[in-house]
Amino acid sequence: MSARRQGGGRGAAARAALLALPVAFLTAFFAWPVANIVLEGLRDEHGWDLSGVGEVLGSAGLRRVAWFTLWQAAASTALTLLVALPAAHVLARYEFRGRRVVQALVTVPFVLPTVVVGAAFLALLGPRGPLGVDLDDTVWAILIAQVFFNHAVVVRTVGGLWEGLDERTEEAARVLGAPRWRAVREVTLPALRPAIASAAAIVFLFTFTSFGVVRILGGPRHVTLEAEIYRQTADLLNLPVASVLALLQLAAVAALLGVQGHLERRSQAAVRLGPPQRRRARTRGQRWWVRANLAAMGLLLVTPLAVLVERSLRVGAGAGHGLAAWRALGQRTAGTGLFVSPVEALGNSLRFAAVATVLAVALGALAAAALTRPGGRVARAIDATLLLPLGTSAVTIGFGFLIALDEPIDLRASPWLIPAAQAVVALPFVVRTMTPVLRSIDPRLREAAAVLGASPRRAWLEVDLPLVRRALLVAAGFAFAISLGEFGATTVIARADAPTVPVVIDRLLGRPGALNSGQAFALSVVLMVITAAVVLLVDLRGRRDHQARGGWL
Amino acid sequence: MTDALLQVRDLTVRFGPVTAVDGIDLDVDEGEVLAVLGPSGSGKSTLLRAVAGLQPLDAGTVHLAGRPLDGVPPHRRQVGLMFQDHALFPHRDVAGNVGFGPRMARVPPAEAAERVRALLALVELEGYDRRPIHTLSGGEQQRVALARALAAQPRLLLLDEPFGALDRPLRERLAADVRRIACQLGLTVVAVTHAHREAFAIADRVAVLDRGRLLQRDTPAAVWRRPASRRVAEVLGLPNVVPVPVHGGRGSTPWGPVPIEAPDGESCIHLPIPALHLAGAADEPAVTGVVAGTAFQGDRTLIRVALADGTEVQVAAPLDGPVPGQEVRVAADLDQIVPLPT
Repeated sequence: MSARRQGGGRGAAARAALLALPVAFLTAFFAWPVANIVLEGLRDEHGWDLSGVGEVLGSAGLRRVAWFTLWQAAASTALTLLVALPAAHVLARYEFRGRRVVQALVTVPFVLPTVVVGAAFLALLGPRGPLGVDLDDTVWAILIAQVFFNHAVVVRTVGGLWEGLDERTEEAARVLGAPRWRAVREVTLPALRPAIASAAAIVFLFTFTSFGVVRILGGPRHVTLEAEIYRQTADLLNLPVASVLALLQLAAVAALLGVQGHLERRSQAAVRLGPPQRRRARTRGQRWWVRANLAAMGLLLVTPLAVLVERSLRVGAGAGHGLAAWRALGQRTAGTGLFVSPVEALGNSLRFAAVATVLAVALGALAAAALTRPGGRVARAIDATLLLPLGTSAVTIGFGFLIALDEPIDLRASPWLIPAAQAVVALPFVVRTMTPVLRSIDPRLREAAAVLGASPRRAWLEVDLPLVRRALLVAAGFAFAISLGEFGATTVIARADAPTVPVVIDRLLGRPGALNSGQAFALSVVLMVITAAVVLLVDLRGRRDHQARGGWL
Repeated sequence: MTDALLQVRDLTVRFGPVTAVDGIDLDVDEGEVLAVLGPSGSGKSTLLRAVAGLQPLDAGTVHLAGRPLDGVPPHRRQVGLMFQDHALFPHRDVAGNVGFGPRMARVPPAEAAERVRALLALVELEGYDRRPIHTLSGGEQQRVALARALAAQPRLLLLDEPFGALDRPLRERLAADVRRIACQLGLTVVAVTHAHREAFAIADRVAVLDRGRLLQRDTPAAVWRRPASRRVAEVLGLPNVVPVPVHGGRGSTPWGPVPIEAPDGESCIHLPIPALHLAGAADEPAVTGVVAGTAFQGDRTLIRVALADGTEVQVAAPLDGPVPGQEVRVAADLDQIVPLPT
């Protein structure tokens, strides 16, 4: 009688063992630093000092920042859905030559470093841009860049569900007398709603905590909470206000994650997915729809990157094109406050990202394995907690590192510091990529292995591991790209003698002179090529018989 | 203790408040093929999973070849299980699936390869070694699953709805194949199914399971001809199970009284199709009724006849037999009537 109960006890023990390392890591490199910096701002030597709260609430400027953060996130989310849902439909429902490549390419902007996105849109929409409009320092530049950046979230989340939806349910509605628009509204949209809501929540989350894009495109007038936290801490040394703002952001993000988790659980229960059903465009209207969407995707997703390349080749105002900026990448530039050449920074970036990837994948895989064991509330709570770093101000994490990691061991000068911070940021992505795939493994495959003579350990090696290998590869690719592009935390903790490429790009863009901006654009091209190559590689390989859908990566 | 290969005693499995398997005793002899027949939800899959060690017992014992299996994990039981939808490993090809068991048992590669080859020949899939699983048809997957289960050389092979998702001609051919292979190899097999045709096609003996309890165990012919109870007749889907009034140990049918060991009141009898026929000569004792419907069955037509007392029976008729609305006379062979007192 107690067999099952004992089994449950074993399950809980196994889960605890699997979770030990990830939890220890997140405690040391996430909870502890963030708690430290927040408490630092809320206390002085006499005890609690809540002057920051009053200062934030009383300041019209900070209220404006909060309001701007909120509405630009809402507007970005709405715009992204508007642009990306038709694209998701075309990629999910239609078959055409090059579809798989387009599908992989669409993902690239999402993993581009935010500073690269910022730089690309500065090149496209800023002064001297090819379109002849100067949207620099306007909210439009920010919104368009956010759409570019988050397009893939909607296409992948919604498209992943859409391609598996049984078209016959819509056909059934047509046969039952519903006109086409009615069938879509009554059948398809309700089935997609959880995915749309989930995608919207994630886009909102990313745009709400946006830093790199806003820092480069927003100018002094358009500041998000995240950018303001950086300004208050780094420029004004006003820790109390920064702490209150960080807490405010964390609370908003936690609420959002709660809503998103709820929606996602509903979506898992609600629809049954079949194999993808794609057909070629037949009618003239369908062909037009596919072509128009592909053209729009090309325009939105390719133009900024092409302009980036062009700008890296521009020698000076009206002086034609050349490789001057590229040649200068090997040299140290005076006046940027950096003691290394861009090429050396690239070496740093690759090294840090490699270490961060190993950390994030190892810890994330452990956590995902723990989360896929059957369990109720506890698992859900842990699931949500593991996502928190996603929404926490990366800048706050960075400053937390600087003030908290001096005891018991002083890690602040350690070469592990930056990889640790990047791993914290990449970890949720790894967990999110692995969990659905692990969940989708039919438990009977393990049972089949068992009755054929495989011990549980052997069954894991023979069944689970091969089936998740591709997902591991995808997770590693994303973790690498994210670590490579991580800016918020890295810019705070990177030392002047060992900066990463995004930090150098930011510094170079902040300097006057065509050569500096040319170098920044050239470095952005380098990062773009590396991240795109990594993601295309794992995506094209990893998709081959990727069974799990519904995840947002 | 008998010397049956598999001995199940008082096996009980509960899921919360639901008792899925309720104190089952079952013996299976070496070389016997037993079919467990039951409607969906009767606990048959749970019974198999319990024997395979995939489902913890709430009570009872399982012995295999005299050895108690409690506490023995599935991978050390030498019990093979073929899953309902096969559970083939999608990341391995046909040979990789079939060779899995030998590999786990550390059989030398050359010997394992030979075993795989021989088994693929046995299930008539020669040359399929390198085929990916997803390119196989349902029937081919089923054969691979069978070969995979056999390759591990289990003492006892369990089949869970082995032909569930296949269409009927294929199902019947595969059932015959399993029967042939089991006899060829002298296998001991327990197969669960909800379809009596399948059960009869492969089994030496049939056990009828309902709501976690064993109702009857006998040869297919005996189960079909002499169902032990009304519920067994229902599970088998037998036609012509009709109520009769009982008085003094005799049930009165429209054709006359039959002996039935039931208390006074109402009970049931089963009129097998061969027990009824349309009366030929006018002087043959028969009961008049009206044809309510006909069902063409290829080699004959089954007609539904509403008798005067309201009972409806199915009677075999020639292909160009009576049409609905027509009056017919139905005669019965009282010796073939099966009383179903419980």
